[in-house]
Amino acid sequence: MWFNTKGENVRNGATHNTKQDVISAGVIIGAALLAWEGAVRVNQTPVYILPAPSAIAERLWQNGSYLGNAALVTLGEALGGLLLGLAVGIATATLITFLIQLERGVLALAILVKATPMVAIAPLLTIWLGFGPLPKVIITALLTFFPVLINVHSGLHAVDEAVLALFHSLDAGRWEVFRHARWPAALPYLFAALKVVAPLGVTGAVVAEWAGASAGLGRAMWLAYANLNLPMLFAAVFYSAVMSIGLYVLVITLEKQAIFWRRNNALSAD
Amino acid sequence: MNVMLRGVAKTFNGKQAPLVALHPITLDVATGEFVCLIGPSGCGKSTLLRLIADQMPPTAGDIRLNNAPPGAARKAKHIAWMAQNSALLPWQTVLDNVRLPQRVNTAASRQNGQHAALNPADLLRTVGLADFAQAYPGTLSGGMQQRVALARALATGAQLWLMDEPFAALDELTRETLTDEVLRLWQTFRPTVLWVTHNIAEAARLADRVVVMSARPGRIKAIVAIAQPRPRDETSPETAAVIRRLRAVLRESGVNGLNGFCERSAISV
Ligand SMILES: Nc1ncnc2c1ncn2[C@@H]1O[C@H](COP(=O)(O)OP(=O)(O)OP(=O)(O)O)[C@@H](O)[C@H]1O
Ligand SMILES: [Mg+2]
Repeated sequence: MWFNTKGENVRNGATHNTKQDVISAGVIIGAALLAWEGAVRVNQTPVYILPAPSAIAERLWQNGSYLGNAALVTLGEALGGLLLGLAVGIATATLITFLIQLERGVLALAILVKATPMVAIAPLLTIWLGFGPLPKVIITALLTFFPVLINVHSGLHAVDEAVLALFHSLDAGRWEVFRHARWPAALPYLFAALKVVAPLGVTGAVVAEWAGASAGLGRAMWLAYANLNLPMLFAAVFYSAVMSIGLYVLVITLEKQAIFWRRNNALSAD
Repeated sequence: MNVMLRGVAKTFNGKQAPLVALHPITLDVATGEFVCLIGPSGCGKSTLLRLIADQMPPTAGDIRLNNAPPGAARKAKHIAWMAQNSALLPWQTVLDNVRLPQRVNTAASRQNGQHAALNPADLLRTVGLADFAQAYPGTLSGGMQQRVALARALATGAQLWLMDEPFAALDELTRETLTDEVLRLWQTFRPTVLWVTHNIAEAARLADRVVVMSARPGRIKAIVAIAQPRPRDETSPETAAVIRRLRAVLRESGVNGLNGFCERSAISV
Protein backbone atom coordinates (compact mmCIF):
# COMPACT_ATOMS: atom_id res chain seq x y z
CA MET A 1 0.00 0.00 0.00
CA TRP A 2 1.27 3.41 -0.91
CA PHE A 3 -1.08 5.43 1.22
CA ASN A 4 -2.67 4.37 4.36
CA THR A 5 -4.89 7.31 5.16
CA LYS A 6 -7.84 7.34 7.52
CA GLY A 7 -11.38 6.63 6.43
CA GLU A 8 -10.61 3.73 4.14
CA ASN A 9 -13.26 1.17 3.37
CA VAL A 10 -12.64 -2.50 3.55
CA ARG A 11 -14.20 -3.96 0.44
CA ASN A 12 -13.60 -7.43 -0.89
CA GLY A 13 -10.78 -7.64 1.58
CA ALA A 14 -8.83 -4.79 -0.03
CA THR A 15 -8.44 -1.29 1.32
CA HIS A 16 -10.10 1.29 -0.87
CA ASN A 17 -10.70 5.03 -0.70
CA THR A 18 -11.42 7.92 -3.00
CA LYS A 19 -8.26 9.90 -2.30
CA GLN A 20 -6.19 6.87 -3.16
CA ASP A 21 -8.18 6.36 -6.38
CA VAL A 22 -7.57 9.94 -7.52
CA ILE A 23 -3.87 9.77 -6.78
CA SER A 24 -3.33 6.43 -8.50
CA ALA A 25 -5.35 7.53 -11.56
CA GLY A 26 -3.32 10.77 -11.71
CA VAL A 27 -0.04 8.89 -11.51
CA ILE A 28 -1.02 6.43 -14.26
CA ILE A 29 -2.34 9.11 -16.64
CA GLY A 30 0.69 11.34 -15.94
CA ALA A 31 3.07 8.48 -16.73
CA ALA A 32 1.23 7.74 -19.99
CA LEU A 33 1.39 11.40 -21.06
CA LEU A 34 5.09 11.56 -20.24
CA ALA A 35 5.78 8.43 -22.29
CA TRP A 36 3.77 9.88 -25.20
CA GLU A 37 5.65 13.18 -25.04
CA GLY A 38 8.99 11.36 -24.84
CA ALA A 39 8.21 9.05 -27.76
CA VAL A 40 7.13 11.91 -30.02
CA ARG A 41 10.27 13.94 -29.20
CA VAL A 42 12.72 11.07 -29.53
CA ASN A 43 11.25 9.87 -32.84
CA GLN A 44 10.69 13.42 -34.06
CA THR A 45 7.19 12.39 -35.20
CA PRO A 46 5.72 15.03 -37.52
CA VAL A 47 2.88 16.99 -35.91
CA TYR A 48 0.42 16.01 -38.72
CA ILE A 49 0.87 12.36 -37.76
CA LEU A 50 0.81 12.59 -33.96
CA PRO A 51 1.15 15.79 -31.95
CA ALA A 52 2.86 15.76 -28.55
CA PRO A 53 0.72 16.37 -25.45
CA SER A 54 2.49 19.69 -24.98
CA ALA A 55 1.39 20.82 -28.46
CA ILE A 56 -2.19 19.82 -27.68
CA ALA A 57 -2.04 21.66 -24.35
CA GLU A 58 -0.79 24.75 -26.14
CA ARG A 59 -3.71 24.60 -28.56
CA LEU A 60 -6.14 24.08 -25.68
CA TRP A 61 -4.75 27.19 -24.06
CA GLN A 62 -4.76 29.35 -27.19
CA ASN A 63 -8.15 28.27 -28.57
CA GLY A 64 -9.90 27.86 -25.24
CA SER A 65 -12.91 30.02 -25.99
CA TYR A 66 -13.36 28.67 -29.55
CA LEU A 67 -13.35 25.06 -28.31
CA GLY A 68 -15.27 25.94 -25.15
CA ASN A 69 -18.12 27.45 -27.16
CA ALA A 70 -18.14 24.45 -29.49
CA ALA A 71 -18.19 22.14 -26.47
CA LEU A 72 -21.15 23.98 -24.96
CA VAL A 73 -23.15 23.46 -28.17
CA THR A 74 -22.34 19.75 -28.16
CA LEU A 75 -23.11 19.44 -24.46
CA GLY A 76 -26.49 21.08 -25.00
CA GLU A 77 -27.29 18.64 -27.81
CA ALA A 78 -26.08 15.68 -25.76
CA LEU A 79 -28.13 16.68 -22.70
CA GLY A 80 -31.20 17.37 -24.82
CA GLY A 81 -30.89 13.99 -26.51
CA LEU A 82 -30.24 12.17 -23.24
CA LEU A 83 -33.27 13.72 -21.56
CA LEU A 84 -35.48 13.03 -24.56
CA GLY A 85 -34.30 9.41 -24.85
CA LEU A 86 -34.68 8.98 -21.11
CA ALA A 87 -38.22 10.35 -21.09
CA VAL A 88 -39.34 8.26 -24.07
CA GLY A 89 -37.56 5.14 -22.76
CA ILE A 90 -39.14 5.39 -19.30
CA ALA A 91 -42.55 6.22 -20.72
CA THR A 92 -42.40 3.27 -23.12
CA ALA A 93 -41.24 0.84 -20.42
CA THR A 94 -44.07 2.03 -18.16
CA LEU A 95 -46.61 1.75 -20.95
CA ILE A 96 -45.75 -1.85 -21.80
CA THR A 97 -45.77 -2.74 -18.11
CA PHE A 98 -49.35 -1.54 -17.81
CA LEU A 99 -50.49 -2.71 -21.26
CA ILE A 100 -48.80 -6.08 -21.34
CA GLN A 101 -50.35 -6.94 -24.73
CA LEU A 102 -48.23 -4.21 -26.36
CA GLU A 103 -44.99 -5.58 -24.88
CA ARG A 104 -43.83 -7.85 -27.70
CA GLY A 105 -44.66 -5.49 -30.53
CA VAL A 106 -43.05 -2.48 -28.89
CA LEU A 107 -39.89 -4.38 -27.97
CA ALA A 108 -39.58 -5.71 -31.53
CA LEU A 109 -39.87 -2.16 -32.85
CA ALA A 110 -37.29 -0.95 -30.35
CA ILE A 111 -34.83 -3.62 -31.47
CA LEU A 112 -35.38 -2.48 -35.05
CA VAL A 113 -34.45 1.07 -34.03
CA LYS A 114 -31.46 -0.25 -32.16
CA ALA A 115 -30.30 -2.36 -35.11
CA THR A 116 -30.21 0.61 -37.47
CA PRO A 117 -26.66 2.04 -37.67
CA MET A 118 -26.65 5.62 -36.42
CA VAL A 119 -23.84 6.48 -38.85
CA ALA A 120 -26.31 5.82 -41.66
CA ILE A 121 -29.16 7.77 -40.08
CA ALA A 122 -27.13 10.85 -39.16
CA PRO A 123 -26.64 12.14 -42.76
CA LEU A 124 -30.32 11.43 -43.53
CA LEU A 125 -31.45 13.46 -40.55
CA THR A 126 -29.16 16.27 -41.64
CA ILE A 127 -30.74 16.26 -45.11
CA TRP A 128 -34.23 16.27 -43.64
CA LEU A 129 -33.74 18.60 -40.69
CA GLY A 130 -30.78 20.79 -41.59
CA PHE A 131 -27.51 21.71 -39.89
CA GLY A 132 -29.04 22.83 -36.59
CA PRO A 133 -28.99 20.99 -33.25
CA LEU A 134 -32.22 19.00 -33.82
CA PRO A 135 -30.73 16.03 -35.77
CA LYS A 136 -27.99 15.70 -33.09
CA VAL A 137 -30.57 15.68 -30.32
CA ILE A 138 -32.50 12.98 -32.17
CA ILE A 139 -29.42 10.80 -32.76
CA THR A 140 -28.45 11.04 -29.09
CA ALA A 141 -32.02 10.31 -28.05
CA LEU A 142 -32.08 7.23 -30.31
CA LEU A 143 -28.85 6.00 -28.71
CA THR A 144 -30.25 6.60 -25.20
CA PHE A 145 -33.70 5.21 -25.76
CA PHE A 146 -32.93 1.52 -26.17
CA PRO A 147 -30.75 0.81 -23.12
CA VAL A 148 -33.10 2.87 -20.95
CA LEU A 149 -36.16 1.02 -22.24
CA ILE A 150 -34.64 -2.44 -21.80
CA ASN A 151 -33.22 -1.76 -18.35
CA VAL A 152 -36.23 0.04 -16.92
CA HIS A 153 -38.49 -2.66 -18.33
CA SER A 154 -36.38 -5.34 -16.59
CA GLY A 155 -36.36 -3.27 -13.39
CA LEU A 156 -40.12 -2.83 -13.37
CA HIS A 157 -40.40 -6.63 -13.50
CA ALA A 158 -37.67 -7.26 -10.93
CA VAL A 159 -40.06 -6.99 -8.01
CA ASP A 160 -39.90 -9.82 -5.50
CA GLU A 161 -42.71 -12.40 -5.90
CA ALA A 162 -43.39 -12.09 -2.18
CA VAL A 163 -43.87 -8.33 -2.48
CA LEU A 164 -46.32 -8.82 -5.34
CA ALA A 165 -48.16 -11.42 -3.25
CA LEU A 166 -48.41 -8.88 -0.44
CA PHE A 167 -49.90 -6.21 -2.72
CA HIS A 168 -52.24 -8.81 -4.16
CA SER A 169 -53.40 -9.77 -0.67
CA LEU A 170 -54.33 -6.11 -0.10
CA ASP A 171 -56.01 -5.91 -3.50
CA ALA A 172 -53.82 -2.90 -4.30
CA GLY A 173 -54.32 -1.19 -7.64
CA ARG A 174 -51.77 -1.45 -10.44
CA TRP A 175 -50.80 2.17 -10.01
CA GLU A 176 -50.19 1.58 -6.29
CA VAL A 177 -47.97 -1.41 -7.08
CA PHE A 178 -46.12 0.74 -9.60
CA ARG A 179 -45.59 3.64 -7.24
CA HIS A 180 -44.65 1.68 -4.12
CA ALA A 181 -42.81 -1.29 -5.62
CA ARG A 182 -42.09 -1.34 -9.35
CA TRP A 183 -40.70 2.14 -9.86
CA PRO A 184 -38.27 2.09 -6.90
CA ALA A 185 -37.18 -1.41 -7.93
CA ALA A 186 -36.43 -0.10 -11.43
CA LEU A 187 -34.23 2.79 -10.25
CA PRO A 188 -30.99 0.77 -9.89
CA TYR A 189 -31.59 -0.62 -13.40
CA LEU A 190 -32.23 2.86 -14.75
CA PHE A 191 -28.95 4.13 -13.34
CA ALA A 192 -27.06 1.14 -14.69
CA ALA A 193 -28.32 2.16 -18.14
CA LEU A 194 -27.50 5.82 -17.54
CA LYS A 195 -23.91 5.03 -16.62
CA VAL A 196 -23.46 3.51 -20.08
CA VAL A 197 -25.57 6.00 -21.95
CA ALA A 198 -24.44 9.33 -20.48
CA PRO A 199 -20.84 9.23 -21.81
CA LEU A 200 -22.19 7.73 -25.04
CA GLY A 201 -24.48 10.76 -25.41
CA VAL A 202 -21.53 13.10 -25.99
CA THR A 203 -20.04 10.71 -28.54
CA GLY A 204 -23.43 10.44 -30.24
CA ALA A 205 -23.73 14.20 -30.59
CA VAL A 206 -20.15 14.47 -31.91
CA VAL A 207 -20.73 11.73 -34.50
CA ALA A 208 -23.95 13.43 -35.59
CA GLU A 209 -22.06 16.70 -36.01
CA TRP A 210 -19.53 15.01 -38.32
CA ALA A 211 -22.42 14.39 -40.68
CA GLY A 212 -22.88 18.12 -41.08
CA ALA A 213 -23.24 20.87 -38.53
CA SER A 214 -23.00 24.61 -38.23
CA ALA A 215 -21.49 24.47 -34.74
CA GLY A 216 -20.20 22.09 -32.08
CA LEU A 217 -17.17 19.99 -31.23
CA GLY A 218 -17.82 17.55 -34.06
CA ARG A 219 -17.64 20.38 -36.54
CA ALA A 220 -14.46 21.69 -34.89
CA MET A 221 -12.97 18.20 -35.19
CA TRP A 222 -14.04 17.89 -38.80
CA LEU A 223 -12.50 21.29 -39.70
CA ALA A 224 -9.28 20.42 -37.86
CA TYR A 225 -9.16 17.07 -39.63
CA ALA A 226 -9.71 18.65 -43.06
CA ASN A 227 -6.79 21.04 -42.39
CA LEU A 228 -4.61 18.31 -40.85
CA ASN A 229 -4.57 20.46 -37.72
CA LEU A 230 -4.01 17.51 -35.43
CA PRO A 231 -3.30 19.42 -32.22
CA MET A 232 -6.69 21.09 -32.62
CA LEU A 233 -8.34 17.72 -33.33
CA PHE A 234 -6.85 16.24 -30.18
CA ALA A 235 -7.77 19.32 -28.16
CA ALA A 236 -11.38 18.85 -29.25
CA VAL A 237 -11.21 15.16 -28.32
CA PHE A 238 -9.96 16.23 -24.92
CA TYR A 239 -13.03 18.42 -24.43
CA SER A 240 -15.35 15.66 -25.49
CA ALA A 241 -13.67 13.23 -23.07
CA VAL A 242 -13.92 15.72 -20.20
CA MET A 243 -17.64 16.16 -20.85
CA SER A 244 -18.23 12.41 -20.98
CA ILE A 245 -16.44 11.93 -17.68
CA GLY A 246 -18.37 14.86 -16.21
CA LEU A 247 -21.71 13.35 -17.20
CA TYR A 248 -20.66 9.99 -15.79
CA VAL A 249 -19.74 11.58 -12.46
CA LEU A 250 -23.06 13.43 -12.49
CA VAL A 251 -24.94 10.15 -12.97
CA ILE A 252 -23.07 8.51 -10.11
CA THR A 253 -23.81 11.45 -7.84
CA LEU A 254 -27.50 11.37 -8.72
CA GLU A 255 -27.56 7.60 -8.24
CA LYS A 256 -26.36 7.91 -4.66
CA GLN A 257 -29.17 10.37 -3.97
CA ALA A 258 -31.87 8.37 -5.73
CA ILE A 259 -30.99 4.94 -4.33
CA PHE A 260 -30.61 6.25 -0.80
CA TRP A 261 -31.71 3.03 0.89
CA ARG A 262 -28.47 1.38 -0.16
CA ARG A 263 -26.35 3.99 1.58
CA ASN A 264 -26.17 2.12 4.85
CA ASN A 265 -25.39 -1.13 3.19
CA ALA A 266 -21.63 -1.58 3.30
CA LEU A 267 -21.44 -4.08 0.45
CA SER A 268 -23.19 -2.01 -2.18
CA ALA A 269 -21.78 1.37 -1.13
CA ASP A 270 -19.17 2.79 -3.46
CA MET B 1 -63.85 -15.29 10.25
CA ASN B 2 -64.54 -18.99 9.69
CA VAL B 3 -62.92 -21.03 6.96
CA MET B 4 -64.73 -23.80 5.13
CA LEU B 5 -62.91 -26.07 2.69
CA ARG B 6 -64.94 -28.57 0.69
CA GLY B 7 -62.99 -30.98 -1.48
CA VAL B 8 -60.37 -28.35 -2.33
CA ALA B 9 -57.81 -29.79 -4.74
CA LYS B 10 -55.01 -28.36 -6.83
CA THR B 11 -53.21 -29.76 -9.85
CA PHE B 12 -50.46 -27.76 -11.50
CA ASN B 13 -49.80 -27.94 -15.21
CA GLY B 14 -46.28 -29.31 -15.13
CA LYS B 15 -43.92 -29.18 -18.12
CA GLN B 16 -44.24 -32.89 -18.89
CA ALA B 17 -47.12 -34.18 -16.78
CA PRO B 18 -49.71 -32.48 -14.57
CA LEU B 19 -48.53 -32.29 -10.98
CA VAL B 20 -51.09 -33.16 -8.33
CA ALA B 21 -50.19 -30.94 -5.39
CA LEU B 22 -53.30 -31.38 -3.27
CA HIS B 23 -55.82 -34.17 -3.05
CA PRO B 24 -59.32 -32.99 -2.12
CA ILE B 25 -59.15 -31.37 1.30
CA THR B 26 -62.18 -30.87 3.48
CA LEU B 27 -61.69 -28.86 6.64
CA ASP B 28 -63.58 -26.40 8.83
CA VAL B 29 -61.88 -23.79 10.92
CA ALA B 30 -63.97 -21.87 13.42
CA THR B 31 -63.82 -18.15 14.00
CA GLY B 32 -60.94 -17.29 16.31
CA GLU B 33 -59.38 -20.72 16.07
CA PHE B 34 -55.62 -21.23 15.82
CA VAL B 35 -54.83 -24.07 13.42
CA CYS B 36 -51.35 -25.29 12.56
CA LEU B 37 -50.59 -27.12 9.31
CA ILE B 38 -47.71 -29.53 9.44
CA GLY B 39 -46.41 -32.07 6.98
CA PRO B 40 -43.46 -33.19 4.88
CA SER B 41 -41.82 -30.74 2.52
CA GLY B 42 -43.66 -30.40 -0.79
CA CYS B 43 -46.95 -31.80 0.52
CA GLY B 44 -48.88 -28.69 -0.48
CA LYS B 45 -49.11 -26.64 2.70
CA SER B 46 -48.11 -23.41 0.97
CA THR B 47 -50.37 -24.27 -1.93
CA LEU B 48 -53.33 -24.70 0.40
CA LEU B 49 -52.61 -21.37 2.09
CA ARG B 50 -52.27 -19.61 -1.25
CA LEU B 51 -55.58 -21.06 -2.39
CA ILE B 52 -57.28 -19.69 0.71
CA ALA B 53 -55.53 -16.34 0.18
CA ASP B 54 -57.04 -16.19 -3.31
CA GLN B 55 -53.60 -16.09 -4.94
CA MET B 56 -54.71 -18.78 -7.37
CA PRO B 57 -57.91 -20.73 -7.99
CA PRO B 58 -58.36 -24.33 -6.87
CA THR B 59 -58.68 -27.00 -9.56
CA ALA B 60 -61.71 -28.41 -7.77
CA GLY B 61 -63.71 -27.82 -4.64
CA ASP B 62 -65.06 -24.86 -2.79
CA ILE B 63 -63.45 -22.38 -0.42
CA ARG B 64 -65.66 -20.21 1.77
CA LEU B 65 -64.53 -17.51 4.14
CA ASN B 66 -67.45 -16.37 6.29
CA ASN B 67 -69.58 -18.07 3.69
CA ALA B 68 -68.21 -15.92 0.85
CA PRO B 69 -65.61 -16.72 -1.80
CA PRO B 70 -62.02 -15.88 -0.80
CA GLY B 71 -61.83 -13.11 -3.41
CA ALA B 72 -64.40 -11.11 -1.53
CA ALA B 73 -62.46 -11.38 1.72
CA ARG B 74 -59.23 -10.39 0.01
CA LYS B 75 -60.75 -7.39 -1.70
CA ALA B 76 -62.14 -6.23 1.64
CA LYS B 77 -58.62 -6.58 3.13
CA HIS B 78 -59.85 -9.22 5.57
CA ILE B 79 -56.83 -11.44 4.97
CA ALA B 80 -53.38 -10.82 6.44
CA TRP B 81 -50.68 -12.67 4.56
CA MET B 82 -47.24 -13.35 5.90
CA ALA B 83 -44.53 -15.70 4.68
CA GLN B 84 -40.94 -16.67 5.33
CA ASN B 85 -39.77 -13.79 3.17
CA SER B 86 -40.53 -10.55 5.02
CA ALA B 87 -41.28 -8.80 1.68
CA LEU B 88 -40.50 -5.37 3.10
CA LEU B 89 -39.98 -2.45 0.76
CA PRO B 90 -36.32 -1.46 1.22
CA TRP B 91 -36.99 2.13 0.07
CA GLN B 92 -39.59 2.83 2.70
CA THR B 93 -38.97 3.39 6.38
CA VAL B 94 -40.06 0.76 8.87
CA LEU B 95 -43.05 2.89 9.84
CA ASP B 96 -44.08 3.43 6.21
CA ASN B 97 -43.82 -0.31 5.61
CA VAL B 98 -46.18 -0.94 8.52
CA ARG B 99 -48.52 1.77 7.23
CA LEU B 100 -48.59 0.26 3.74
CA PRO B 101 -51.75 -1.86 4.20
CA GLN B 102 -53.62 1.26 5.29
CA ARG B 103 -52.22 3.41 2.48
CA VAL B 104 -53.16 1.18 -0.44
CA ASN B 105 -56.66 0.21 -1.54
CA THR B 106 -58.17 2.82 0.77
CA ALA B 107 -61.64 2.17 -0.62
CA ALA B 108 -61.69 -1.17 1.23
CA SER B 109 -60.33 0.44 4.42
CA ARG B 110 -63.16 2.94 4.50
CA GLN B 111 -65.67 0.10 4.54
CA ASN B 112 -63.96 -1.51 7.52
CA GLY B 113 -64.30 0.95 10.35
CA GLN B 114 -62.20 -1.13 12.71
CA HIS B 115 -58.98 -0.61 10.74
CA ALA B 116 -58.64 2.98 11.74
CA ALA B 117 -58.26 1.87 15.34
CA LEU B 118 -54.92 0.18 14.64
CA ASN B 119 -52.26 2.83 14.78
CA PRO B 120 -49.04 1.79 12.95
CA ALA B 121 -46.85 3.47 15.56
CA ASP B 122 -48.64 1.53 18.32
CA LEU B 123 -48.20 -1.69 16.34
CA LEU B 124 -44.47 -1.01 16.10
CA ARG B 125 -44.38 -0.56 19.85
CA THR B 126 -46.27 -3.84 20.22
CA VAL B 127 -43.57 -5.71 18.33
CA GLY B 128 -40.86 -3.83 20.23
CA LEU B 129 -39.53 -1.71 17.38
CA ALA B 130 -40.70 1.78 18.31
CA ASP B 131 -37.09 3.04 18.20
CA PHE B 132 -36.66 1.87 14.61
CA ALA B 133 -39.67 3.61 13.07
CA GLN B 134 -37.50 5.82 10.86
CA ALA B 135 -34.89 3.17 10.02
CA TYR B 136 -34.77 1.45 6.64
CA PRO B 137 -35.39 -2.33 6.57
CA GLY B 138 -31.93 -3.03 5.16
CA THR B 139 -30.40 -1.93 8.44
CA LEU B 140 -32.42 -4.39 10.55
CA SER B 141 -31.62 -7.97 11.53
CA GLY B 142 -33.64 -10.85 10.08
CA GLY B 143 -35.67 -11.22 13.26
CA MET B 144 -36.44 -7.50 13.37
CA GLN B 145 -37.51 -7.58 9.72
CA GLN B 146 -39.97 -10.38 10.43
CA ARG B 147 -41.32 -8.38 13.36
CA VAL B 148 -41.92 -5.45 11.01
CA ALA B 149 -43.70 -7.84 8.64
CA LEU B 150 -45.78 -9.04 11.59
CA ALA B 151 -46.73 -5.49 12.54
CA ARG B 152 -47.64 -4.83 8.92
CA ALA B 153 -49.84 -7.95 8.84
CA LEU B 154 -51.62 -6.66 11.95
CA ALA B 155 -52.07 -3.24 10.37
CA THR B 156 -54.57 -4.66 7.91
CA GLY B 157 -56.85 -5.31 10.87
CA ALA B 158 -57.68 -8.60 9.18
CA GLN B 159 -59.68 -11.30 10.91
CA LEU B 160 -57.86 -14.08 9.11
CA TRP B 161 -54.11 -14.53 9.41
CA LEU B 162 -52.48 -16.81 6.85
CA MET B 163 -48.92 -17.41 7.93
CA ASP B 164 -46.58 -19.60 5.88
CA GLU B 165 -43.63 -20.52 8.07
CA PRO B 166 -43.22 -16.87 9.06
CA PHE B 167 -40.26 -17.43 11.35
CA ALA B 168 -38.67 -20.48 9.72
CA ALA B 169 -35.56 -18.60 8.62
CA LEU B 170 -34.81 -17.39 12.13
CA ASP B 171 -32.77 -18.96 14.88
CA GLU B 172 -34.50 -21.04 17.54
CA LEU B 173 -34.36 -18.40 20.29
CA THR B 174 -35.74 -15.56 18.17
CA ARG B 175 -38.41 -17.85 16.78
CA GLU B 176 -39.63 -18.76 20.24
CA THR B 177 -39.77 -15.14 21.35
CA LEU B 178 -41.68 -14.17 18.24
CA THR B 179 -44.16 -17.03 18.39
CA ASP B 180 -44.89 -16.08 22.01
CA GLU B 181 -45.50 -12.56 20.75
CA VAL B 182 -47.88 -13.87 18.08
CA LEU B 183 -49.72 -15.88 20.71
CA ARG B 184 -50.15 -12.78 22.84
CA LEU B 185 -51.39 -10.79 19.83
CA TRP B 186 -53.76 -13.59 18.89
CA GLN B 187 -55.19 -13.53 22.40
CA THR B 188 -55.67 -9.76 22.08
CA PHE B 189 -57.18 -9.61 18.58
CA ARG B 190 -58.68 -13.10 18.37
CA PRO B 191 -58.30 -13.60 14.62
CA THR B 192 -58.61 -16.97 12.89
CA VAL B 193 -55.07 -18.23 12.25
CA LEU B 194 -53.78 -20.78 9.75
CA TRP B 195 -50.14 -21.31 10.54
CA VAL B 196 -47.78 -23.51 8.49
CA THR B 197 -44.78 -24.86 10.30
CA HIS B 198 -42.21 -27.63 10.17
CA ASN B 199 -41.61 -27.39 13.85
CA ILE B 200 -43.56 -29.96 15.89
CA ALA B 201 -42.93 -28.28 19.22
CA GLU B 202 -44.05 -24.95 17.80
CA ALA B 203 -47.31 -26.49 16.57
CA ALA B 204 -47.87 -28.08 19.98
CA ARG B 205 -47.29 -24.78 21.71
CA LEU B 206 -49.51 -22.67 19.46
CA ALA B 207 -52.41 -24.59 18.03
CA ASP B 208 -55.95 -25.39 19.03
CA ARG B 209 -55.75 -28.06 16.37
CA VAL B 210 -52.85 -29.40 14.34
CA VAL B 211 -53.62 -30.59 10.82
CA VAL B 212 -51.06 -33.19 9.79
CA MET B 213 -50.67 -33.68 6.04
CA SER B 214 -49.21 -36.63 4.17
CA ALA B 215 -46.47 -36.45 1.57
CA ARG B 216 -47.26 -35.21 -1.93
CA PRO B 217 -49.91 -35.31 -3.18
CA GLY B 218 -51.07 -33.72 0.04
CA ARG B 219 -54.07 -34.87 1.96
CA ILE B 220 -55.13 -34.61 5.56
CA LYS B 221 -53.58 -37.47 7.46
CA ALA B 222 -54.75 -36.63 10.95
CA ILE B 223 -56.09 -33.78 12.99
CA VAL B 224 -54.80 -33.49 16.53
CA ALA B 225 -56.74 -31.26 18.87
CA ILE B 226 -54.95 -29.74 21.85
CA ALA B 227 -57.16 -28.64 24.70
CA GLN B 228 -54.51 -27.50 27.14
CA PRO B 229 -54.55 -23.88 28.22
CA ARG B 230 -51.74 -21.56 27.12
CA PRO B 231 -48.97 -20.77 27.85
CA ARG B 232 -47.95 -24.37 27.42
CA ASP B 233 -44.84 -25.90 28.84
CA GLU B 234 -43.13 -28.28 26.45
CA THR B 235 -41.88 -30.41 29.31
CA SER B 236 -45.31 -30.93 30.81
CA PRO B 237 -46.56 -34.51 30.36
CA GLU B 238 -49.61 -33.38 28.36
CA THR B 239 -47.65 -31.34 25.82
CA ALA B 240 -44.96 -33.98 25.63
CA ALA B 241 -47.70 -36.50 24.77
CA VAL B 242 -48.99 -34.23 21.97
CA ILE B 243 -45.49 -33.86 20.56
CA ARG B 244 -44.99 -37.63 20.64
CA ARG B 245 -48.30 -38.18 18.93
CA LEU B 246 -47.54 -35.62 16.21
CA ARG B 247 -44.12 -37.11 15.64
CA ALA B 248 -45.63 -40.59 15.26
CA VAL B 249 -48.24 -39.46 12.73
CA LEU B 250 -45.64 -37.46 10.81
CA ARG B 251 -43.28 -40.39 10.60
CA GLU B 252 -45.99 -42.42 8.90
CA SER B 253 -47.03 -39.59 6.60
CA GLY B 254 -43.46 -38.99 5.47
CA VAL B 255 -43.48 -42.28 3.55
CA ASN B 256 -44.27 -41.71 -0.09
CA GLY B 257 -46.82 -43.82 -1.89
CA LEU B 258 -49.02 -44.56 1.10
CA ASN B 259 -52.01 -44.38 -1.17
CA GLY B 260 -55.56 -44.90 -0.13
CA PHE B 261 -54.72 -44.31 3.48
CA CYS B 262 -56.40 -41.29 4.94
CA GLU B 263 -57.00 -41.51 8.61
CA ARG B 264 -58.88 -38.73 10.28
CA SER B 265 -58.70 -38.83 13.99
CA ALA B 266 -59.39 -36.24 16.61
CA ILE B 267 -57.48 -36.84 19.76
CA SER B 268 -57.94 -34.63 22.76
CA VAL B 269 -55.19 -34.56 25.28
N1 LIG C 1 -46.63 -22.48 -9.04
C1 LIG C 1 -46.39 -23.80 -9.11
N2 LIG C 1 -46.29 -24.40 -10.29
C2 LIG C 1 -46.05 -25.74 -10.36
N3 LIG C 1 -45.91 -26.54 -9.29
C3 LIG C 1 -46.00 -25.98 -8.07
C4 LIG C 1 -46.23 -24.57 -7.92
N4 LIG C 1 -46.27 -24.30 -6.59
C5 LIG C 1 -46.05 -25.46 -5.97
N5 LIG C 1 -45.90 -26.48 -6.84
C6 LIG C 1 -45.69 -27.88 -6.50
O1 LIG C 1 -46.69 -28.27 -5.62
C7 LIG C 1 -46.16 -29.11 -4.60
C8 LIG C 1 -46.51 -28.53 -3.26
O2 LIG C 1 -45.78 -27.35 -3.07
P1 LIG C 1 -45.92 -26.45 -1.77
O3 LIG C 1 -45.05 -25.28 -1.94
O4 LIG C 1 -47.33 -26.22 -1.48
O5 LIG C 1 -45.31 -27.41 -0.65
P2 LIG C 1 -45.09 -27.15 0.89
O6 LIG C 1 -45.86 -28.17 1.63
O7 LIG C 1 -45.34 -25.73 1.21
O8 LIG C 1 -43.55 -27.47 1.03
P3 LIG C 1 -42.49 -26.81 2.01
O9 LIG C 1 -42.76 -27.40 3.35
O10 LIG C 1 -41.19 -27.28 1.47
O11 LIG C 1 -42.67 -25.35 1.95
C9 LIG C 1 -44.69 -29.21 -4.86
O12 LIG C 1 -44.44 -30.45 -5.47
C10 LIG C 1 -44.38 -28.10 -5.81
O13 LIG C 1 -43.39 -28.47 -6.69
MG1 LIG D 1 -44.16 -24.06 1.79
